[in-house]
Amino acid sequence: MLKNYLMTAWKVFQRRKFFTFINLFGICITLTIIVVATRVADNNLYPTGPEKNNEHFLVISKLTLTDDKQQNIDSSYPGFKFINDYVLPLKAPEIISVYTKSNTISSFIKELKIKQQLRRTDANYWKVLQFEFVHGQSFDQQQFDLGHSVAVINQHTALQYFDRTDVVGEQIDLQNQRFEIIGVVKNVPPTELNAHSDIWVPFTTLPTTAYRHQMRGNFQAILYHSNPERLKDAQLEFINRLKHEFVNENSEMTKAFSYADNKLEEMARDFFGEETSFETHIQTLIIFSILLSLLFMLLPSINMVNLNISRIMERSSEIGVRKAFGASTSQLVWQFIIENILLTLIGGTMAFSLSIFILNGIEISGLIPYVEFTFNFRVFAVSLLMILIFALVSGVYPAFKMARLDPVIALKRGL
Amino acid sequence: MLHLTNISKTYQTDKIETTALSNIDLSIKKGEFISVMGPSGCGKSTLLNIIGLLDQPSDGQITVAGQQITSYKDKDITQLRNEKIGFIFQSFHLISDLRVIDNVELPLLYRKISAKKRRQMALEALEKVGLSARTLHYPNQLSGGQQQRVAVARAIVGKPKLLLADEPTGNLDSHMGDEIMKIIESLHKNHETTIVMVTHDEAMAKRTERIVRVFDGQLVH
Ligand SMILES: Nc1ncnc2c1ncn2[C@@H]1O[C@H](COP(=O)(O)OP(=O)(O)OP(=O)(O)O)[C@@H](O)[C@H]1O
Ligand SMILES: [Mg+2]
Repeated sequence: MLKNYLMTAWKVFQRRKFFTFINLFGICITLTIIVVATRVADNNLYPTGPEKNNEHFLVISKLTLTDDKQQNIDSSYPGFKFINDYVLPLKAPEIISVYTKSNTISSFIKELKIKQQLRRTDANYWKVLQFEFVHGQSFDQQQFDLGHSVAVINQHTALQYFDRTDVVGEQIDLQNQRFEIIGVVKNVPPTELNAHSDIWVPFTTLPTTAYRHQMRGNFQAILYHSNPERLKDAQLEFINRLKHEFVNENSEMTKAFSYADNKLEEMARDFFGEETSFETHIQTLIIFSILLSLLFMLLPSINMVNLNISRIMERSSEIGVRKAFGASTSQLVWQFIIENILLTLIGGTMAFSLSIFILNGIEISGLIPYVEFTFNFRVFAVSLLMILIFALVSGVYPAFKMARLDPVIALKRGL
Repeated sequence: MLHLTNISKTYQTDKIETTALSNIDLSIKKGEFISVMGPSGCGKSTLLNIIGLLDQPSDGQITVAGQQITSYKDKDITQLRNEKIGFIFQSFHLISDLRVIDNVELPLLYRKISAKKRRQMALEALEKVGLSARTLHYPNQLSGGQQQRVAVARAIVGKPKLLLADEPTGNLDSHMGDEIMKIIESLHKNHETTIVMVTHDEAMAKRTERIVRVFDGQLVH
């Protein structure tokens, strides 16, 4: 029977080229957006660069200070003093890495002014993030402790300076300091917030040690554990420490709020979080995303429902005839649902190809530098699921409505 | 074969009640070929639809192929429609998206019959109506007479006990109509099919075994 439904559907598509085209067009646009969104989301949640092990770490990148009455609220990146006093002593993480956010600096290459991202890190940074070295290596604990003027740069920067990537041992000048290049890594897209930069140097090379006394600043930290389950302990330990042990001498800002978040928690907090609470908002984020994607699918679905109804309506004579010759309502429902699923799958296939074009376009355009969208089974499964939901949402109601037509009326209408 | 007892049908539309049929008693014997005549709007099609279980009477009892109909739920009547009854409509009602052969196969889709056997039965039916050469055409590539022959083939492919034809020749010229009539007559002779045919044409009606006349929803004797 299924085979016959499929055959019939195929014949109907061929005979009704215009309807099929309009239908496919609508499906294709909607699904392309869904597939692209899925792939972008996947790329964000499951990075493929140095942050690919991100289920093993939490990031602390925000500090909010308030007074007792929470009238003054001040949010920024944490300073080194905060990290040193309240993060580094944590027992639960196996490794803690401290590093700055990436800063834009200007340099001159061949009399051309260019902008680059510079990040200052510790030695643990290279242990918790999985950089791919093309040449050389990272700096170790000893080089960090001694404040050696060494730098790791990405391929792009190497090419900018030297027109080649094999540049270990060369020197570059950054902000009036001379650094020796000891490693070259693959380019990292800015979607990997903690790994992204063009140049990495030890933060012990900073010209002054003033940063050591700052509660607020531009530092971040990664808490790493080889067993992702244990990260919850680190989260709790950190929050407890802030709640009970935070002191800020010589300041009225006596309360601190900060969070060790995984990727999803960080996103949720960005959208829904309050600065002065320790709550996570993952549920809100998930519910919100589901609602948003449903809402997004709703309009095209309603459109498709209309299109499907008129498509089936044109065939009321067929419905009448099939019923007269013994088709049951449920058989007709299946026939129309399968037709719709087949059409949606064809549209979905087109959407997949179109999404590849679009994402390749984004990659090439440099809109998001160095980004590489991978196509994996997870993306495929999620997209397929969305496509099927779309097919069902837009196909089931018309199928039921039309299949239940009274045969006498259907035959009359079909004249 | 077929018994209608005290059948009535009223249509309720916007406070106006239309009586299409009232107190119809009719028995048709197995293998009988009858025609139904009457002026336009008298209820002939309604009667045929009720006999064919497409429509539900407002009142009365009906027995088709020895089976008394008590419920019009899908599961109770689809099999009867599928195996015992064949329809021919005035306006053919072929499915324009399907080829002739697929149109003829349609009733068999709702039975447990292999694709090969279906094809074979459809070809046999098309041969009976003299259309073996047109199996891969689409309906709109055929003349009216040919289309109605396809419809006849579709009606008989499942070897129904009861053939219902609502003005099968109404849309055809007299020559084409005669051809269709001959096919229906031969079915009657060779296969003992019970046939109920609605017609406006006295000459056609005379060729059947019995004429039932309807006037204003009632049988006249
Ligand atoms: N769905 C309906 N709703 C309301 N009234 C209806 C409906 N179908 C039929 N009728 C009415 O029932 C009566 C009988 O209709 P029917 O179609 O059976 O007539 P008929 O004898 O077949 O006419 P014709 O020869 O023109 O085909 C008519 O008065 C018609 O207006
Ligand atoms: Mg009629």
